[in-house]
Amino acid sequence: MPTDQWLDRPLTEFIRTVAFSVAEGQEELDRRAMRSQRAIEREIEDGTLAYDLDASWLRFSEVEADLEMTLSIEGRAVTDPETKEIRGYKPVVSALPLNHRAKSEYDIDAELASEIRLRIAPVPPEPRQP
Amino acid sequence: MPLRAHHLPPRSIAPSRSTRAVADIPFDALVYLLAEGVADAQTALDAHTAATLETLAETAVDVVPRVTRTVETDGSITTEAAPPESRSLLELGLTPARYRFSDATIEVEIDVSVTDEIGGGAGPTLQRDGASGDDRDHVVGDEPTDRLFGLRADTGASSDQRRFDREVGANARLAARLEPTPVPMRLESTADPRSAGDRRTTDGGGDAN
Repeated sequence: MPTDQWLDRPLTEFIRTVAFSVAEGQEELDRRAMRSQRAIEREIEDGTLAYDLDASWLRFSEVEADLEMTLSIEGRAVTDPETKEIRGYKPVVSALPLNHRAKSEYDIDAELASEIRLRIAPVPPEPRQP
Repeated sequence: MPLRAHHLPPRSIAPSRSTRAVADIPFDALVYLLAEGVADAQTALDAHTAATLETLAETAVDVVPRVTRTVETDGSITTEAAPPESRSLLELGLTPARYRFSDATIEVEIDVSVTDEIGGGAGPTLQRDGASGDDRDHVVGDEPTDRLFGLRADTGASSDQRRFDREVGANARLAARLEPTPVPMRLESTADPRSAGDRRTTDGGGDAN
């Protein structure tokens, strides 16, 4: 259950989430096709199905996600694990999804929004070394 | 019908849908649900092809296998027909057309928001405190690790726009393009080549279109 709604999060988390969502969606599609394929194979072995049929396999040939956000750079403290002292600040790009709630509550100018466009496409696997 | 209803994989959502609209869903669930719609339709097309194939195999007609015409020396012609034999329409060369989505593009406009979740559940999968990623060394681990970060997709802005004629727009667009892909090669190689070869001859080796 979602409990809190964040105002902004590091941009890397957005990108990672979109990529993982596509990968998990593809994995679930493959599982689904595999279940159909196994069911057909079982029918063929039982003799119920006398004709060879292959299950249909689908894949995401391309997924494009456009995210309209406002970006900000924050300095995140890097602490020493032993002394617990702050060594410095690492710049982190944070992103705020620009929805109507954010626009009205924080009076954000939508003209200044950044657009993050992600395009994910499958690539053939690398050949394995013998 | 060879490809029966129980061959259709269960949908990831309950078939008896609630009449109340859901405010938002996890982003990864949205991605899969979009693809599942196409996959459902493709499975229905496959089931239809299988049913047609079965019908063609079961429907038998009487066919005269051969007719012999004999020309006698006096010029007369006699025709002799062999006794009719029962043949299925499939044996006579009728094959069902198999249709598939050569390309399906789904484009949706959504509002994306970031949420925190406690415990497991459907949807978001990323550890908030980043077991992987660039910033893992810089995240202070004071907060509970079972809190999950995730994106949620919401179409409330679009609904408000239609309902109240407000000038609000979605902040994200997701376009997913799906296309069929051949059966993975390893699956074919693990199958029994003899039986696969025997079966391949019945439908011409795959697509009929």
